[in-house]
This record gives sequence, structure tokens and C-alpha cells, in this order.
Amino acid sequence: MQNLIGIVLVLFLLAVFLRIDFYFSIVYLLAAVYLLARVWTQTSWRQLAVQRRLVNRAFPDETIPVELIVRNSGRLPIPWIEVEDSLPVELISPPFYREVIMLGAKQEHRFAYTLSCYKRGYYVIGPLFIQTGDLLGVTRPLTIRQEPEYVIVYPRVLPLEKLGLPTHSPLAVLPAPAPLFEDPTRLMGVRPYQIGDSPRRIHWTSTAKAGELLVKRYQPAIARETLICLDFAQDSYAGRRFYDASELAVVAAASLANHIIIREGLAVGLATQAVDPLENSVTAFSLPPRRERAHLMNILEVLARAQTTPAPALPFLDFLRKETTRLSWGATVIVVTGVESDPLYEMLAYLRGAGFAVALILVMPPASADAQRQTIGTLPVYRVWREAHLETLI
Amino acid sequence: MNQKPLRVHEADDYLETGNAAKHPTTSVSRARSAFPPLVVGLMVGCIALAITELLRRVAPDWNGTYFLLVPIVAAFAGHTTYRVTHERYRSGSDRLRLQIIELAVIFLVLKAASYLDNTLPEVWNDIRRWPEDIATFFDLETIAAFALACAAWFSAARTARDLEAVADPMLYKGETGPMERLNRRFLAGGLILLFISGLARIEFATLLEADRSAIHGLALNVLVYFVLGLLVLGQVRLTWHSRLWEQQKYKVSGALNKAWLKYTLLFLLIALAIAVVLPTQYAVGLFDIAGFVVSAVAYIAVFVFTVIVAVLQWLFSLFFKPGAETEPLPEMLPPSITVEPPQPANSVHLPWLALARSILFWIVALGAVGYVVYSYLKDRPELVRAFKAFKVTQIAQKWWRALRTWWRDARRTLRATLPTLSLNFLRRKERRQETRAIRRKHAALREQMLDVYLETLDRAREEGFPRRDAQTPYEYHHALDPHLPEAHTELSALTEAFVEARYSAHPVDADDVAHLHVNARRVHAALDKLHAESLQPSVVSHQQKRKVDG
Repeated sequence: MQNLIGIVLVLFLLAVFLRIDFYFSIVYLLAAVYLLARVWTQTSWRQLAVQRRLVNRAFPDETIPVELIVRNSGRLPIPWIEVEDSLPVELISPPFYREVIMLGAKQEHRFAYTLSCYKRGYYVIGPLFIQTGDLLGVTRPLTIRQEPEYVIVYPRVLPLEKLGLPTHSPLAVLPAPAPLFEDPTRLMGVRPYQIGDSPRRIHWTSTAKAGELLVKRYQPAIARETLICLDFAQDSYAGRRFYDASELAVVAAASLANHIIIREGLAVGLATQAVDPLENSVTAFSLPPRRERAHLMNILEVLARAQTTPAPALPFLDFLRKETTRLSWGATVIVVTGVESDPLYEMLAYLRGAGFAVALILVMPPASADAQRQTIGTLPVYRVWREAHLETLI
Repeated sequence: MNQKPLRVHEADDYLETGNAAKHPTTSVSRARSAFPPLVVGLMVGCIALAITELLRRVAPDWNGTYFLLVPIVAAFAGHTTYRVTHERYRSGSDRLRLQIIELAVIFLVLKAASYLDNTLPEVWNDIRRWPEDIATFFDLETIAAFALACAAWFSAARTARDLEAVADPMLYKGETGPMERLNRRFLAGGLILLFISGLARIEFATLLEADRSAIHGLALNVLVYFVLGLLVLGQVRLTWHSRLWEQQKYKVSGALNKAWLKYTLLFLLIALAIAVVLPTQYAVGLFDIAGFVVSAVAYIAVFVFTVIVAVLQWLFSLFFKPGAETEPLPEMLPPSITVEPPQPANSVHLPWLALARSILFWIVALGAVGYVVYSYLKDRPELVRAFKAFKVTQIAQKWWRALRTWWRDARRTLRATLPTLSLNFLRRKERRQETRAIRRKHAALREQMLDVYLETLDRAREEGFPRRDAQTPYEYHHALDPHLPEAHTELSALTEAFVEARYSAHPVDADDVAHLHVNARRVHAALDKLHAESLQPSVVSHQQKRKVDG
């Protein structure tokens, strides 16, 4: 109906020239059709509101019910509304939700669908498009765009028995259940303040001098904290089962973190280089060891989001060295990777020599059942490959 | 017509079975399939009625009833035949044969109908003359009626084809989409109808006379044509949407079809009521009204001037001629202007009432048409840009800008010169102490500047660039600027002007406000362009996330 305006103008001029009354009536009719359609569409568009309700965290095998609410807060009915929600194919098939509805005055319509979370990840839900227009196609349809939301599906967390890993300690041998981890009488230095640090640890003099918050570092008697270093470079998991292996590495890291914090009540941290879909770039995640449950959820969120990277910013061994410099003496370092090499063993030996307890988890098929758990020198090495297979390892 | 459907290949059985299964023949489906030909027939009937009226004007004694009915029947037949032949016959030659036979039958029916006023012996005599003089068989009246019937038949068949093509895109052929073809056909038919209806009523002898009387009365057939056409277009729109929704796997609410028809009817009823209620008659022409308004304004201006001169004259007479008698005022006054309302043609007794009605009419008519054009252009900023790209428009804009610059310069010069004149003591005093009125005026200008800026913020928010509460104007500027590269300078100037008006005590004058308006308009134009781009369907589905962050 693009020609409508031209017709109205020509007809109006003819009506004025010829002085025929009913020409004016037709001009009014067409003008009224155009203006009413425009006003109706724009008013409806302004009065439309949309809301998406969902819980944006889930564990694998859980379902997330999603509710979309489209509300017409105006006094005019809306004859048609196209609702289109774009969804990730990993959570629902087909990967969209599309429906056409009509809404009366002050009415609302609720749509419901369910997302099935089978795979860890960071998923974008939306954007949601709502389109409405007039009945005759006189005006252009108008669209409302609802910003996307995000759902995080945590990685699968298994009991360590299933992974074939020891359950009574964070892999390394501890001399005794020592209640004293840091000796506050022996100041070792200061470090920048991190969220979660006790205000008592703030070194006010240094803080005033440096102009930033600094906290004291004490010499540890022995540290009972663990750092999980996850190698998430694509090259480390090359092979036909690249996907399964890298996912298993994540499961292993998540299960270890869960076990150490929940079962043993000890602090655990995570260090990895991975592609972060939030930033869409390679990010170095470095979560210092903490023992709170909230910290565990942070670790799980990072593990949920992490994607393997073809080009990490630093080679894994350099990254490992860098991350361990911040650890207290006696801390445990657990390395999770999909490839073994002499430089790796040399680095682990070096760390051991530097006073860390070190363990290696290799995500690769063992040569035999006995080879799943072995010790190379004094270094405990665990091979994990398949969840079902791992159950028989203990 | 007992020919069996021609089987072209084995898929025909499947297609027929499938179609039958998909569209079970129920009373509802029969009614729905009968609806389009019926409406098309009625619309053609509206045109036929106008033609009949026109012909009756030439030959008042002519019985044109069949002339009215035949196009309706032909349109109905054309629509139905198209559907039937396409459902039952695959071969083009079979369809053509059937169509030729049908047109021949229509011709014979028309010929028979032309004898309705004759007695049987007259008819028999005429028939006996056919072999001798073939022109008596193909007479002008029958040929004209047949041409009309053929036009109705073909246009109805084309409409049927396009209606099917809207529902099934596989049938779509040609560069112009079926929806567009239907729209054009409806509007072209409407224009033809208006033209013929106008011809049937207009007096050609007085066409060029300035004071000829208007043609009153409502052409019901014209209104019915347009309302029915819009109703059909509404249903066509629904069919088009339904097809798209089906293709894109939308779940469609079951009540949508009924609601669509209900709302279309209601919508058209309101539009029709508006069309009927609004005034269509006027006694005074547009130019007369304009002349009257101009002379009225001039009269008021002269009156005010006269009063001021009279007062001044009286004051000066007190100072310079004490005791002398005051000169009679009329000699000093400018000649008065008399405003007589333009004389309407038919309302001699109540000229002012007719004038008021005419003013009302012109306000309504011009307002309606003007607002339609304004809305249309507002929704399509690309058209405005294209219009501005014309050479003539650019020259006009250039002149307009030059005029405004001259006016601004003239005001500045005047403002600069005024203090040197004899009244400069008043100016100095004014500068020393602003009166309350001037302060109020300046405050109003400042308010205007703030309003213009806030209006721009609202417009930007509609486009998805809301300003966060914590954002300063400069932060917001940095956030918005990358999205409007075309209006970079204007946006900067707008922000600067707002900050100065809002946070400084610098005086604000009308020029500042004018500059701000110009800049705001350019920023709005850039936002309009963004809006137009976002409305493109392909763009909408891949719209980038617009995020304004500080």
C-alpha cells in the first residue's frame, strides 16, 4: 500500500479542482485508514512489554523452565504479535521459539518452554524479537528487541571415586592435620589486597605508602591449599576424541575442586587459559585458593564457560610457573592436561623441589589398567580417560 | 463440460488426494472459497454501476439493468473458472478451450439480454436479419457490454491467480509480488471508478467556471468499493502472514483468523464513520479563505498601529503645542482596511456561518492530508533525504539558509547599533539590571535548550541508546557518538550547548536556541536513519547488540 499516499494527494487535488464532495469522502476514508493504522500500530508497540523469566544456572541433566510474558498495557487490542526467541541448539530443538498471538486490551500472554541442560557451557538465550503491525499492511511493522540473557550450565561434578582419584587428601602427602597454616609472627612480605582477605591482614603502613591496599604475607608452617592448573590448549587434546578428552579434563578439575572444598574443607584455586565466550577472547583465569562454597561456584562458573583455545597467550609450562609463584610454600599443585612430555615432568620436578606438593592428572587412555595410577619418581600421576572406565580404577 | 480431468503424470492422484485431505469440503470451506469471488463480483458491480450511470446520462431511456448485472456475473464466473480450471485441468490448451467457450456463452447471454425490452416478433425479425447483415448480430451495445464483461472476467481471473499466489508462493510468477499486484489493481480500479463516477455527475459546460457550484451527494457504490477492497486486502494480508508463519514454523493462535476479520471490520467501520462524518462541503474556496485571513491580519496590524500613532500624537501634542487644539486624528491615520468576508455562492443570507463552515472544512481537509504526508515522510526518512538531494531542493535550501543568515546578521547589527542611538540610556539601564520579564525570557530560552536536549535523549532511548543515571553528558556523548558518525559534530555541539546552558550562568539568547535546534534536528535525522536501517527485515534479525556503556 505504498501508493496510498500518492492516491490521497491526487484525489485531494482533483476534489478541490472538480468540487466533487464524495471525492473528499474517499480522501478522508483513505487518510483515516492510514492514520488509524499508524496510530494503532505505534500505540500498540509502545504499550507492549515483554519479560523473560528463567533461572540462569543449572547443573547437567537439569531442566530450566522458561516463561515469556508478553503484556499489552494499553487500552487498544493488538491484532497480531510475532514472538521469536532465539535459543541455543544445545539446550532445545528446534533452536527457536516462535508463536503468533493476539492480545486484547490490558491482557497478557504467557509462553512456556523448557531448556534441557545436557552439556556444560555458557549459553545465550535470545535476543527476543516481538513484531507487530497493522491489519492492512499500510504501515511498516515495528519490532521490539529484548536483550539476550545467559544461562550457565556447570560442568558435571563426579565423586572422585568415579574418577579413580584418591579421596582422603588433596593428592599430596600431608605430614599431619596441622591447625596452623600461616605463622603470623613471621612476616614474609606484602601482596595486593584481594576480595575475601580479612581486614586484619591489611598492612596499613605499606598501604599508605604504596597508595593501594596491601595485605601481609606470613611464612607458612605448611600450606593446605591447592591450585588446579588446567591445560586447555587445543593441541594438548589432539586426536579423534579431542572433544571428549577436553570435557573430561573439565569434569576432573570440577570434581577435584568440589571434593577439596566440600569434603575436606580446604582451599582450592584454579588457573587456566581458555576462550571466554563473555569476552570472546583468550582469557587467563586465575582464582586464588579459597575454601568458601561461593568460591567453588566461581570455579564451576569459570569451568562452565571455558572453551579450548588454539593459541593460548602463554605456553602452558610458562603459565604454570607464573601461577605457582603466588602460592604459599607447601601448597599442592594439581596439573590437569591431555599430553605428557619431558618438559612437563621437568617443570613438575622443579615445582616439587621448590616446596610444592605436585600431582599430575593426564587425560589420556592408559596403556593398561595398572598404568592408570603410577608414580614417576616421587610424582603421583593419574590417568583418566572415560567416566565409566574410571569407576573401575579404585 | 463433462470432460474428465486430464492426468499429466502419476503425481496428479497424489496431489488431488493430498489437497482433498488438506481442504475437506465443509460448509465453512465452501463459504470461504465463495467469499473472494463474491466480493470481487460486488466490487466490479460498483464499477459497472458507475458506467451504467454514465451511459444513462447520455441515453436516459436506455434500460441498462443487464449492463449492471453482466459484469458482476462475469467477474464471479472469471474468478470461479480460474480456480476450477487450475484445480481440475493441468493442460494449458484445455484451460484455454474452456475459457473461450465460457466467453462465447457470456456473449450469447449478453445478446439475449439486449432483447429484454423487445417483443418476440421484433426479436424474431432481428434474428432473421443476422445472416444478411452480420453487423446486426455484433451491434455496438452488445460489443460494449461484452468488452465490459471481458474486462471484469479477466480482472477477476487475475485477482484469483494473485490470491492463490499469495497463499502459495510456488505459484508466484513475475517481478511484482502478488500482494503488490492486488494492491495496484484495487487502487487502479478505485481510480477508474472515481473517474467514471465523477464524469457521471459533472457538468462539462461549467467545468472551467470559477463560481460553479459543487457536486453534492454521497456515491455509495464508490464507498462500498473501497471498503470491500480494503476488507479483501486485510484478508490477503492475513493469508500472506499465515503462509510466512507456516514456513517459519510459528505456532499460530487458533483465534487469530476470526479476530483478524473482526478487527478489520471494526477498523474499517471506524474509518468509514470518520469519512462520513467529516465535512465535505465548502462555500468559500481555499484562496478566498487565505485572502480573507491575510486581510484580517493586515487589518489588525493597521488597527494596532493606528492606536499607537494616535496615543503618541496625543502625547506630543501635549509637549509641543500647549494650549493648541489637537489636530483631528483621521488625517494622521493610515487609510483603514475593510475586511469583508468573501461571498459564498449559495449562502447569501448567512455569509459568516458559511465562512466558518468553510474554514472548518479547509482546516480538516488540509490537516488530514498534511498529517498523512507528514506521517508518511516521518516513517521514511530515506525519502526526505532523497528529496533533499534534488538540485532544486538544494538551491531552495541554500536560499533559505542565506535568508536566515541575513536575518541573523541584521539582528546582530541592529542590536550592536541600538545603544549608539538616542535611546541608548535605556539600553544601558537594561544591561545594568535585567527586568523580571527579560530574566523570565532568558530562563525560558534556557528551558527550551534543556528541553531540546532531553527530547534528543528520549529519541536516542527509543533507538536503544538510553542514558544511564550515572552518566554525565560527556560520558553519554562518548557512548552515543560511535553510533552516529554522520552527526559527530552536531552531537558534540549539542552536548556542549546543553552543558553550558545547564551548568553555567552564561546568558542564553535566541540564536543559541536556534543553533541547538539545528544540531538536534541533524542528530534526530541520524537516529532516523538508524531506525530505518533497523526496520529492514534482514537487518532486524541480525541486529547488533546496542549497548551504551559509560
